[in-house]
Formats: sequence, structure tokens, C-alpha cells
Amino acid sequence: MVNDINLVSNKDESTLKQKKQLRVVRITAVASLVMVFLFSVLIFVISSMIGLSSIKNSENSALNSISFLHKKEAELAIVNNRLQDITTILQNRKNYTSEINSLLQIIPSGAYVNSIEINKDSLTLVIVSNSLLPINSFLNSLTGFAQKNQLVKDVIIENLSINGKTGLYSLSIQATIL
Amino acid sequence: MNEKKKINIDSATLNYLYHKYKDFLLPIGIIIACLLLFVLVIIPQFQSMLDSQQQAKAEASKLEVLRNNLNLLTNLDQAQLDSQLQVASSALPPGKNFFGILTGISTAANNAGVTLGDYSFQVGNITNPASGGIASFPSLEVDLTVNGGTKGVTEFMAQLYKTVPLSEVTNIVLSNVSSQLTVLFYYRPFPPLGFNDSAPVQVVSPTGLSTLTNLSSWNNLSNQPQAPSQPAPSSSSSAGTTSPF
Repeated sequence: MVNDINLVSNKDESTLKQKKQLRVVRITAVASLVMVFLFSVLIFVISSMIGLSSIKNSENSALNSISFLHKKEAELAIVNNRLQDITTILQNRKNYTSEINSLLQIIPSGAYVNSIEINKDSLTLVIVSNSLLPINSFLNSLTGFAQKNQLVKDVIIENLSINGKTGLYSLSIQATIL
Repeated sequence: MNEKKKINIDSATLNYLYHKYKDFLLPIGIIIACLLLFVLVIIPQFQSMLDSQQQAKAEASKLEVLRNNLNLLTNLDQAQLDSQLQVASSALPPGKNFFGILTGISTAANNAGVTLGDYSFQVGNITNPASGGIASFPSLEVDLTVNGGTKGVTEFMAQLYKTVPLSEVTNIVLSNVSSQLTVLFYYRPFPPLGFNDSAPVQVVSPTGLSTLTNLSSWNNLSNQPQAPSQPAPSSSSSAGTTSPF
């Protein structure tokens, strides 16, 4: 015989708990459905806004128009290529005119240049005079240039001779053009 | 004494569990399905959308370049371009322009007031030019005899350097009576042409325009008869023998 009578049934507590759990699970399910739906719509809208196909169409149209201008494009490319090469040549080609003029300017009166030979920045010059004084003056001027690191360097006297018949002195020098 | 509780899993138990929790089945199933959809479908779609966005950006840049190119080429004056090409090709011909060279030498001699003696052409090795600088440019070597004294010859060299085609005096033997010059006349075949539509078109730069203006003022450029033009090769053929247009 049971002495205690429990007027409150335990069965209601567990049912209440289960109902709460069921409610939570149902809310979670609905929320999941809504989120999946929202994400799908969002991705769809953004993808359609990107408009890749319209860009591709515009590209094809531009390419088609450019294909009629390939002759101009080719000419322009050739002109640019030529100009690049021309600039390289103009900047790098040797011009000995100023060096020759500078040398001719320091030839004193009473002397004259018999020959000047320039080959790959190497200079060979023969000066002739009936006196050693102009030759000396020329040498002084030339070595002055070399000392100032102008025009030439490494001046070497190759030959100094006199022609017994004519009495003319001949000086041959070699130098490196700067 | 602890006794291990035995759990009976039989159909009655399963039936009992099913009836007890059957209300949970549908929502849990929905949650699992949504999770799977999210992982297997939505996330890959999102990645794909990002890739499409990147691709669209790249294509938009490419389209911008194409439109700029189209605009530039449409507005380019054909006559001016033809003139620039003529000047550039006269200064640096695509092939051996013997007639242009002889005309240039004669013009320089006339302008300098000197007379020419014999001259000869030396055809060098054009297949294996020296590497680097203008030594890598193919050239025709001409040995000249110039009569006119040292001043006349220096003036001749100055005039030659303002005459097309471009040249360079590499060896000088000056004397008061006649002088020997070795002159290189440069030429260069047209490069193989390939059209890269996604690369921006480069118009002639201000420096290039200045060079062209300078060249246009040179001797014999305006009245030099043009030798038959050496067209540029296509990308698949050998150099200097086919038209670029």
C-alpha cells in the first residue's frame, strides 16, 4: 500500500520539456530553410548583375571593328620599330668630324697635315713643317688636350724625321681618341 | 551490487521510440537537408560567383583597352602615317638600297663641294651580325675616295651624316689631295608582324616625332626616289621578302 500520494504527475514535466525541444528544432528548421532560400536568391541576383556575356559581346564587336584597321596598326608598329632602331644608330654611331676639326685648329702656321688616319678610335697623324718650332707648338697643344682629358689620350710619337732633300721635318704621332 | 542494465533493441523498442520522437523527424530532416544544400550547393555557387566577378573585371579591362585601341586607330591620320613610314624606311631601309646609297653619297658630295673617286661595295656577313649595339645591325660597307682636301672631306662627312640612309664612317685616311673613307650604310628587315589585340596600341612618342621631324629636314629625303619597298614578312615566313600589308 502506498502511503504518499503525489498529486503532481511527473509525466507532465517530461512532456513539457519535449515540447520545448520540439519547438526549438522546428524553429531551427524553418530558419535553415529561410537562410538557404535567401542565400540562393542573393547569389542569383549578384550573378545576373555581373553581366559577363554583355562584356564579351562588346569585346567581339570592338575586335571586329579593329580587324578593319590592321593595316594602320601594322604601319604604326613598323614606324615605332624603325624609330627605335634609328634612335639607337643616331646615339651610338661615331662622328669624328669634331675631333678632326679640333686637330686641324691646333695646326700652327708653318706646318701642315700630311695625313690623318682614324680607325676604331685610334688616331695616326703626320704633320710636316720646315721648322721644328711649329711641330713643337703642335705637340704642346696636343699634349695639353691629353692632360686635360680632352680629345685624345695616350699620345705616342712614332717617328720624327727630316727629308734631306727638301729639309722638311715630319712628325708621326699615334693617339687614342676619347 | 551493481548489475549491468541490459537494453533490449527490438521492434517493440524501436516502435516505442518512433512514436515518442516522430514529431522531431521532419524538422531534423529539414535541417540536415539545408546543411547539405549549403555545403554542397550554395558555397560552390558562391565561389563560382566570385570567379565570375574576377573574370568580369578582367574582361572589362580588356574591353577598355580594345576601345582605346579602336579610338586611337580610327583617329590616326593615314596620310601622316604613310609619310612617317616613308621617312623612317628611307632612313633605315628594310633591305639593301643601293640606289639610295649612291644618291645619298652624291648628294653629300655635291653639298660639301667635293668630288668622288672610285668606290666599291663590300657585302658583309648579314646572317651573323655582331651582338649588341649598332654592330648588330646589318650594313653595307662602301669604300670611297673623296677629292677635296681635309676641310672638304670633313664637310662631306658632316653632310653624309645628314643624309639618308643612315651611315657611319668607321675608317678615315685624310690627306690634302684625296682621302679614303670606309662608310657603313645601315639597313634592317622589317620585324615579323603579329597582332595582339589585347595589348595597347602605342602611338609615335613625342621623342619619335621629334626624330621624324629631324630626319625630314635632312638632305635628299624629300626628293629621293624610292627603291622598290621591301615588305615586312608574315610571322611564318623568312625576313625581308613579303609585304606587311
